Amino acid sequence: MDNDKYKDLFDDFRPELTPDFSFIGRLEEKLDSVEFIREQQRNVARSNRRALAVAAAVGFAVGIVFMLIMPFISDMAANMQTRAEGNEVLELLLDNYQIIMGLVICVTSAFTALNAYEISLSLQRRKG
Amino acid sequence: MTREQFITHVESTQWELRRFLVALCCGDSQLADDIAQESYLKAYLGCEGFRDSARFGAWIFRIAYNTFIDSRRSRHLTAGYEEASAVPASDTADAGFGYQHLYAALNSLPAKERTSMLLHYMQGYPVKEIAAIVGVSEDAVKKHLSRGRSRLRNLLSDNE
Repeated sequence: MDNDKYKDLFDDFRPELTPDFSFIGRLEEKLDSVEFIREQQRNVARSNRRALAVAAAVGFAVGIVFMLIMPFISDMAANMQTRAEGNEVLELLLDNYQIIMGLVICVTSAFTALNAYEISLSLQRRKG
Repeated sequence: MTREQFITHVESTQWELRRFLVALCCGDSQLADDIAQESYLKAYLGCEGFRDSARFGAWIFRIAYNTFIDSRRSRHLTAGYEEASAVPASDTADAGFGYQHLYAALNSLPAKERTSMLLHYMQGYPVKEIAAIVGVSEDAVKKHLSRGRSRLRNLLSDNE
C-alpha cells in the first residue's frame, strides 16, 4: 500500500457521531459549571482579603493602644518598685516588666487579630 | 481567550477531533466523545494564557492524546483483533460496523503508532507537529509511521 492509499483509507473514514449541537450543548453545560466554580473561588478570595485587611487593622490598632499606654505602665512599674522591696516575686516581675509587657502585647495583638479575621469572615458569609 | 472565542475554536475543530478519537478508540464513539469533552474542558481551564489561535488545533489534539492515554490507564481497551474479527457484520447494523476491520487493525497497533498514523494520514500533520503532539522525537515518529504502515498493510490485505 502506498502513502496515498493510507490517506484514502482515512479520507473515507466517516464514522457516525452524535450531532454537533448535542456535543457542544453538553460542553457548554460543563463550561457553565466551571464559570460558577471560578466565581465562587473569586468570592472566597475576596472575602479572605477583606478579612485579612480587618485583622491587620485590628492588630495595628491594638499595637497603637499599647504604645500609648506604655508610658503609664512604665511609671506605674517605677512607683511599685520602691514598694516591692523585700518581695522577691514582685521584684522579679517589675525588673522584667518590659519583657512581660512585650509578651502581653504580642499575644493580645495576635489573639485580637485572629478573632477579628474569623468574625469578619463569618459576617461576610452571613451577608453573602 | 474569551469564552466566545473558545467556542468558535471548538466549533471549528470538534468534528475532526471526534473523528480522530473514534479511530483512536477503535470505534468506541461514546468513549471518544467523553475524551473530547474532557479535552475541551482542560483546554478551557488552561486557555487564559493561550495566545496563538492558529495553533489551537494542534494544542487540542495534544490534550486529547494525553487524555486518551490517561483514560487507558483506568480502563483497558482489550478487544483483540481476533475477537473484533469474530463479531459478524450486519447490513442492518450501525454504519460503524463498516469500519470493523479498520478498528480491529488500528487496535492491533500500540497507542503511539496508532496516534502517529492517524495524525499523519487522517489529519495531515507533518512529522514535526506529530512529535510535538505525542511528546516524542521526530525519529521516533518516523519509526511509528513505518511500523504502523507495515502492520496495517499486513492486517488490511489479509482481509481483502
